[in-house]
Amino acid sequence: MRPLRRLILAAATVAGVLLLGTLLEELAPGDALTDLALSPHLSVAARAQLRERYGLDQPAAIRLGRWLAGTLKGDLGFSIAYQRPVGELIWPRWKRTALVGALAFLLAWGTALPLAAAAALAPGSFWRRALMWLDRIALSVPTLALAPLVIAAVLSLGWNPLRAGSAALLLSALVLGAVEGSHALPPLTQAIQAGLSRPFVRAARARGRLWPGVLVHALRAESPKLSSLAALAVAHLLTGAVVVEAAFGYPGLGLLALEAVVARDPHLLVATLGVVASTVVGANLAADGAVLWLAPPASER
Amino acid sequence: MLHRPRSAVSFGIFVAALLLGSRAPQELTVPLAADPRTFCPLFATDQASAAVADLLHADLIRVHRRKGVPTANLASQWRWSEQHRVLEIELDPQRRFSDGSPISAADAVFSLQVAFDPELPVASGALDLVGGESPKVEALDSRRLRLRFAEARPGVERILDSLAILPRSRYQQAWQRGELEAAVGPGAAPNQIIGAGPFKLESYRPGEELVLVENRFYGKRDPAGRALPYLDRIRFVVLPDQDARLLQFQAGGLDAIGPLAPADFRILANSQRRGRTQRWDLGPVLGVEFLWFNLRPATGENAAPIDPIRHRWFSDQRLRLAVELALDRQGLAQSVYEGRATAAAGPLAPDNPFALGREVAHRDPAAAAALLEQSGYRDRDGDSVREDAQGHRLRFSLITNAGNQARESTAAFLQHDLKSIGIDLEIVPLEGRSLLARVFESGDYEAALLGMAGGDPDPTLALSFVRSSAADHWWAPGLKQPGSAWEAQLDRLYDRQARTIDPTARRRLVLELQELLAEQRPMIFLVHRHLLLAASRRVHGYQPAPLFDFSLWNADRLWLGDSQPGGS
Repeated sequence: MRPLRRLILAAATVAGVLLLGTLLEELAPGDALTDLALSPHLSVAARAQLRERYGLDQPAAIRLGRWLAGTLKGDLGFSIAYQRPVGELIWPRWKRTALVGALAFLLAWGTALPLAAAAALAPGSFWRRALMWLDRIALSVPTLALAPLVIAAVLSLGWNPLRAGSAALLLSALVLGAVEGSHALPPLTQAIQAGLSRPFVRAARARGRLWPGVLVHALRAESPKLSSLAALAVAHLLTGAVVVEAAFGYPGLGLLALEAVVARDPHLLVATLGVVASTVVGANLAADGAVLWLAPPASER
Repeated sequence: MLHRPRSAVSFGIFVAALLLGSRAPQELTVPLAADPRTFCPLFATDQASAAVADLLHADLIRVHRRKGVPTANLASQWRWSEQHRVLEIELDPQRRFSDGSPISAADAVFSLQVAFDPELPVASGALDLVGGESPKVEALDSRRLRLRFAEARPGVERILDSLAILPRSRYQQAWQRGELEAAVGPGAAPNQIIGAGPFKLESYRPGEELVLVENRFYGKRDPAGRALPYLDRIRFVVLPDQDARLLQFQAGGLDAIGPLAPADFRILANSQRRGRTQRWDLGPVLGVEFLWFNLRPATGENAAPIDPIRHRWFSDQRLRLAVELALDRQGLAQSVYEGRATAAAGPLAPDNPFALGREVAHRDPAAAAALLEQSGYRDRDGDSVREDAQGHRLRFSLITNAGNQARESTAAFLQHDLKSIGIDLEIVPLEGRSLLARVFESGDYEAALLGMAGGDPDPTLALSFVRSSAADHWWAPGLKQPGSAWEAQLDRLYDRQARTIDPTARRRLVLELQELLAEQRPMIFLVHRHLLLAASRRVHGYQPAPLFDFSLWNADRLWLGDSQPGGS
């Protein structure tokens, strides 16, 4: 029952995000074709016909219902701004964001885990306090400021980071990874410290086991918490991607979502929200699965 | 095995020959602020679409982007007869579509039927220019066609500008099925977009880039007999962010950029000094900035859902005049636009032959205050803000684009000037679409600050907003009948000038129309923005023009580097 309940909850979360997105889109004045007002020579009949063609003359509930029905058949709708099926737009962008996210995750956790382990092994030490202070400073730098700083630094070196394919990818991953790493460091330190204070880990230490082995025990013991933290990181990385992709002009899902909002492109907006929400929910489900697998409930042991 | 050394030598010679015989690829890289929504100029309602579509397609007659006069494009010549009602056009036999097929009169007739199809969202204004009635179009033979207009109107050749000639065999069925827009849109396969422009579409990655390659069948030659275009490719990079475009240009990733904001133009002065780029200030042709009051009728279908007290204020001509007198346009041009704008006396750019040509009125707060006093607006409670005769504070809101730095600064500037005559202006920046929805749909606003892009200088197109029925009749759009006697007179003057062939008589009517507009001041024109452009010095043949597309209108004659155009 529990996995089924989780699945229903996950589906309800995605549906809630879609409903909220549609509602907000509906509440804002204007729509995807409002800018045609600046094309005064377009006839009234042609305007009305365009609205009808894209379903903008229909109430929001009907539009959302039709879009959901189409989505169940694998059709994510049609983008008014790009004049092509939404599915063709979303998947290439999703793959790019997934690549940036994966690189950023590796960078963030690849740096934060060893630092957290070292900090957990030396509680109360000067360098741990210094590390945590540094982390707090890093946390207080918003992504919105960090990205332009990195661009300015790279430009001053004579490189052109914008739109240069791999350079934009690496710099986006660097900024996202730095922000995520600073977020992940304190909870990772706490988790490892909690692992190290478990009786069997303390016993292993007392019996003279070497630190690497002890750490592996501690990490294993805290793997459910680490899985949850990883799922949280996916959500952070996806939301951070909007800012970073916009700053570097990296054509990923974040930039596409921003463009959909600006263009008030209803299908693209709802589909992008749906994909982002599904990815976050999917990561949480994966984390739940990992928790179950790594630490099954007491009754099943 | 025995042949291997000889093969290697042959291969080496082949490669060497290739290297010696080849030239560096001529690839121009330019930015696009948004993804194009169509690849056909007929349906282009945004600048990104128009910029790309104009390179893929060709029209019969084109308004010269620098001289402003109609010039031959696919038409080799044209002739008016029957007192300016019949236009005969002969096609240039050298020109072909990008798939190599010849361009016949049947293609032109088909394309003009499409352009005047009232069912299609054609954005060119062609129907407006001919009074709403489509011309009768017929092919006289394979190379000649005739257009018969219902009545004589001035400047009708201009309507053919941007009416793309499409291959009938490829698009007729799509048109009949009502699928033409999709067939010429970004969703179509690149090799299915066929036009007669200097370039053809090679690839398009939404949100990233769009690559055009030369149309080998273009058929135009330069005076030295070299085939045009000189460029091999044009790469459009989609860069919605203005700062990103500037950074890319500075880093050498773009060959041309513009229109630029005054601050960005100033920033590029350094790279100009270093000899890497060139900048151009083409003067006050980019468009006019203006503010207006909501003058929708108080009741009825298009009624303004605003406070009736404010509606009464705005309907008072003396208040509108007082606002105008309080504004320091020269100061605005200097401070907000860093001198890259010219104070506006009316809607038309100063160098337009139909412009009023009068001096811009200087700021006169004393005269403005006197007018307000006469209308009964006095500061009765000593708080520096006037009240009307009923004691209502003279306070209203002004909506403008959020995020548009120049408009937000202009609004603050206006707020300061109006404060000096006792008017309390509240600035409300709104996101673009919300702003347009209020202006054109709900009518729920008091005053607004926006700008019009400079387009075709012909007054029938440039002044079409004065018609009370116009969709962009800013102060009260889409009225079924004019709201006042002076608005009815504006309608009459507009219609008369649009039917007057004699240039002197027409100019007189256009001036009279502008005088009436200035007298009533439903709109207060502030400044004409300067068109600011920059290009890398490696681009040759670059001749920025005051008409859109300012940079690439002569893309078929641009080349890169120090070699001769089209040379090896």
